Amino acid sequence: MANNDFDKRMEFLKTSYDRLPSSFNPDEVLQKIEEETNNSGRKEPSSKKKGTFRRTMTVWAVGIASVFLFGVITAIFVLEGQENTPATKVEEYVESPEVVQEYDEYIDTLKKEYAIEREKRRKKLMLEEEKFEQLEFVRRGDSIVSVVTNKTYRESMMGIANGKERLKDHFENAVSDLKLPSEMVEDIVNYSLVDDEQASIAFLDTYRGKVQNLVAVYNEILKESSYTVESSDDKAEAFMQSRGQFPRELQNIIDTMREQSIEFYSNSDMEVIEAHYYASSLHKKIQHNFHPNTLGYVDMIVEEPYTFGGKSQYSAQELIPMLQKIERTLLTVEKDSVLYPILESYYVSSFHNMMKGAWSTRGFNEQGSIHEEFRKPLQDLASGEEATPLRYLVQPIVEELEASDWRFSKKLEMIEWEDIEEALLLGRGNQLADYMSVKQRYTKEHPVQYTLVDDRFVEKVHMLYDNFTMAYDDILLNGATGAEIIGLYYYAVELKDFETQYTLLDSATEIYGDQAIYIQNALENDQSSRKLADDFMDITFLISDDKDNDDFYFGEAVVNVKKVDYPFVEPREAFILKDTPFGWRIVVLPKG
Amino acid sequence: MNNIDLIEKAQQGDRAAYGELMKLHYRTVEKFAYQCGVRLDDIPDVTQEVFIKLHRFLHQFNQDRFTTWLYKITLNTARDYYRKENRERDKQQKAVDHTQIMAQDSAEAEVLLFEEDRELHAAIIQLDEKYRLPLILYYFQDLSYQQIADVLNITLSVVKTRLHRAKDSLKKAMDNNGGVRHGE
Repeated sequence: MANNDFDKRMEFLKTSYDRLPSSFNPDEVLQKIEEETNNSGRKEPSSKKKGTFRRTMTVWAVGIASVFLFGVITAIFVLEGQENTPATKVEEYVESPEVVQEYDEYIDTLKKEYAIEREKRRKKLMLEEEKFEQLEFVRRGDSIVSVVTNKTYRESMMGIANGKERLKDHFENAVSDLKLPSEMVEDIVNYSLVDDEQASIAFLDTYRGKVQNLVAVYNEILKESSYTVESSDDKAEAFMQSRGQFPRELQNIIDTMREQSIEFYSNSDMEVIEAHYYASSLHKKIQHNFHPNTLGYVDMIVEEPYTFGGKSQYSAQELIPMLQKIERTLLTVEKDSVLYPILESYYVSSFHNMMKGAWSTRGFNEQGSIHEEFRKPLQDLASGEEATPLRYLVQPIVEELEASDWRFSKKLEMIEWEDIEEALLLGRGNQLADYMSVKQRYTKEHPVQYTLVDDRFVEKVHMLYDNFTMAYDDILLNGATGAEIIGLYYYAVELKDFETQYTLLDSATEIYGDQAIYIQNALENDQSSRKLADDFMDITFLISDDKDNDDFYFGEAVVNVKKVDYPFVEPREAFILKDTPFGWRIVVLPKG
Repeated sequence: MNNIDLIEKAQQGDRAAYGELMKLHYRTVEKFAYQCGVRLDDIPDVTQEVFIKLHRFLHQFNQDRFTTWLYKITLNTARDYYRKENRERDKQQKAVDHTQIMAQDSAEAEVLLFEEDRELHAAIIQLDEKYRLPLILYYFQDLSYQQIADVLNITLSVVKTRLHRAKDSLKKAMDNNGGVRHGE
């Protein structure tokens, strides 16, 4: 097909794509974004980051409360709708005063039990009612009780055979919602979820939600106490020393918050004291009771937020092992809609911030090199055998940094959020090893590779050829050595397989152009009749330090030939190869 | 309001601006997704996911590179969508629903009216991804070599090589199918 015809066909097809139907509705996306923001507590995209964390948490706590009452009511009625099958439903209910009284008394008993359980938690936290009822999990319990005790619902329960049991179930659920994080820990210690990934995620989501509720309320109380941080090296210490002057409510929470694995702390970079969840003995109890794929979520509860006001909360040395653990979860866990996007966002932003933020501003010494303290963690991250997104991203950067005496890396300058996301995606698809094999081949310590053309080598080339010609896919040659590519070329010549010969040429090769012309020339030139197995001795492949404009390495292959077709002075042939993204390809062929 | 203004406002949390931004770009996403092989009935889901994801990382955008990011996100979302779907399918071991396939074919015939368009579209979808994507971005999305290099994170010379090879493969495929001229 002529180029002109081809371009026309493509143009027609392009026009046809305009007929693609669309049902896209931007409002639906906005609605989902709204829901996502409410559900995950995610911050709105904004360039104004500093000092918004506490406010965000408060907004989140209030915002969620407005939507979840609807959720509770819907959930209860949907559940009842599903369960009110014809088998359990009795005939049209006729309300008798005795039954009404019986149900009223039963509901009163349940309400009293709920009130006792509720008060028990409030006292344990030593919170005033006004603050206690702000906690989302308390509001949820209260809402369930409110819904199931109203007149309409009570009447619907009286109309079914097992109405009392249903009521009791709902009350038990409401009491379960009241459980404090410390009580949830006791549950998980008794009923490990090591074998259940989905249940682990659900538990951790609920646990994290309760912790965040408490943190938000504690911060609110601290804010209302009008405590101001005095100038001090350790603000949290100064804060604790002043506790005798605090209002009663603040003293109360200081006395009880550690039971929920929460404490006030001060980051040395910031002029604020805030409540946060920490790795207490309580937290340590839960660590080994979840499915291994979810351990990144467990750590996230302690470590978040990884950045504050655009700055990393952790040094590179601290952050790297954290990122490696997060990565394991992101690569292995089944994606859920609640925790996964949050952890993914932390992973991408923390890594990006570490690579682009910290080192571009304060990571360099006076000589313009990256500080030695940053080099080791980077080298550690780049080393190893496993094909992970972090290694995939960091390895080429470290190579460039090492080559420039730790002064410069083009790849570091170019790395973007999307590259990190893409690496993660490739990692989840188990595709990273394909891409990384190219990077691993550079062996500066061993730039010369000598290959004997023996039976083993010939067999390897034959296998490579068979694999490649099944699909004629470049990627199948990605891991081949320079010598193997040369062997493959000779073998393709032997078989008069012009398509494979052509594939082995880089586009920079002088004779590279239209494949048909290449084949025509090859036919006219009556290619050599030598056999790979019989006529070659060895191949010496030298990887050069030279690179072309696109950053590709070159290599020179010298082949010792047993049988020469022409009267060569020296019985040897030389090729120049280039390491392209698909592996080594021939740039210059031997003359003759 | 132009694209950059809308991005800037959306970055500051202006939902209406983000709505406008979506209206400006959703057709690009839909068409690109379809050209990349997303099935017709999956396009609404993929498009929605793209804009949700785009919003999630909106504050990180360099405004000048919005288009590049949009293509990258669409590409990743489409890949991820089918990867996830495949997992679900493996789990449930669903039987192939022939009714669905027929409905899909019929809907596709309304987009690609001519047989030769359907053949060419199918041949493009059959291409290896590394050849298919430069071809789509060049011919159907009108991106320059440099823009393609940015979207796919490859060098200019690789873009040229892949385009060259993609054209060769496609021409060969079309010649094997008889090379019918459009509309005949």
